[in-house]
Amino acid sequence: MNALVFFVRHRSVDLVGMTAAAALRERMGYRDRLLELRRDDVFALEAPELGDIEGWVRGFTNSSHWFNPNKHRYALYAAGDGAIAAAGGSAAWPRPWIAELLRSDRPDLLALGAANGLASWQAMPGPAGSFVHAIVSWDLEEGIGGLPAATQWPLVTGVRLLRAQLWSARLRGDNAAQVAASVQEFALTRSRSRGLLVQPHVEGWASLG
Amino acid sequence: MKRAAVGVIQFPGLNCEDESLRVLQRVGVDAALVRWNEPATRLAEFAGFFIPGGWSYQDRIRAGAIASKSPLMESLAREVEKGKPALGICNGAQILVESGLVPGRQGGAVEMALARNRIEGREGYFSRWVHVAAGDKARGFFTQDIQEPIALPIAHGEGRFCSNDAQLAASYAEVSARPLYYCAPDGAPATEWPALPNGSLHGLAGVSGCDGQVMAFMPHPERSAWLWQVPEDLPGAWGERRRAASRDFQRLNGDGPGMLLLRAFARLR
Repeated sequence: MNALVFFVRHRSVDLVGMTAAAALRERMGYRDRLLELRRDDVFALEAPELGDIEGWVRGFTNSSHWFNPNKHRYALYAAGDGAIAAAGGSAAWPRPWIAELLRSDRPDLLALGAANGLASWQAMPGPAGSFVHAIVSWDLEEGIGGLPAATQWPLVTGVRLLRAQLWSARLRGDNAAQVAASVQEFALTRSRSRGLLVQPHVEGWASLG
Repeated sequence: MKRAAVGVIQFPGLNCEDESLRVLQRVGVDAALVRWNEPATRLAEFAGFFIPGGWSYQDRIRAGAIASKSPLMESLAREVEKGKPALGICNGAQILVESGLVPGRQGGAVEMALARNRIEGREGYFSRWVHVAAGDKARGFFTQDIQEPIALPIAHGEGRFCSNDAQLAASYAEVSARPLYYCAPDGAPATEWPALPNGSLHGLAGVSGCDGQVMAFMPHPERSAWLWQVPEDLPGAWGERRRAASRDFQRLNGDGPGMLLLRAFARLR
């Protein structure tokens, strides 16, 4: 295995996600369609050989850089290779991007016990006639880097890290394609009235379906 | 003669409104606070606008993003289309950029971003005094009186103008085409730290739109509006003026460098 993805989500209220959802509903016309908007911090690791999973879980959950067990929950997935190359602009985003759920302290994911990561991700509950679509975004200049020092990571060489955000939205719609188009429309900032979540002058983005 | 009225627009989290009101009153206009939850139509009462600095909506998502979606900004866009001037300082500048009012070449399109500072060896919020000059070919409502470098404080974490529009970026390559740019105390365009404090595209400190009527400016002129606000150890002409005025309270209460920009509002009638 040479690609892992950590997702970090607030245990309680995510004020940034709530504010974004409120702006989309109250100011940008998605009041009746947007059922839920969730935000996760994403940390994707790639290396020629990543080795011991437990070492990465320990390093990540003990690090105070990105994860605070009092505030956050995490999910660790095995991932498709190539997300970092894609974020650097040299390749298509890998599909499936996330695969098997390896470790998590999230009760909702553990209850699902899903082997298929993407399926478990899309298990954001919602009524019939609604669909989930996700956008991942990263800083074009600072999104890709190395591991921070002052944390004990597994002794592996050549690790590259992509720091990103995942916005997952459930919208009412006729079909998944229509919802995907709507999420892209409100995600990518184009003008005063169009787009909010991603600033294309400083951020790259990919639609994950 | 009736004094012109300037609206100081306040969103939740902006924190420079009091000093902004005070400095506008010193300029000689009737300044009034307009809160984000007042009817957007109220903006029609004013001849000009000022969006102060701070942290609107806690900079959630990114600085200025949420405020830019406010109905007040739609109303502001309609007012500036009538030729009314608007100045955004620091977070106010970020709001104007996210609103597409500057550079404003494509009718409301967001053509730039204010990205995180790029400083060798450090990251995050950065505060210091800088010098800024105005490009001759880009003079507008707010910069016509700036004939020499002015000294002002910056205080921001996301102040680096950037754009993925190569044509737009290239339009600021010539120094005289830059509305306001960081410079050395002698006026030489800044190309590296510390004169260039954040790595901004072509050293831009301020970008204008609507033929110069709208200005997004990262430094704080309201914090350098009186000469006594200038540090005594500042290099350059403004530092010399400050040192020469030491203990002369009349001179210390005279105009500071920020007034060269803010006095533009006095032309409103």
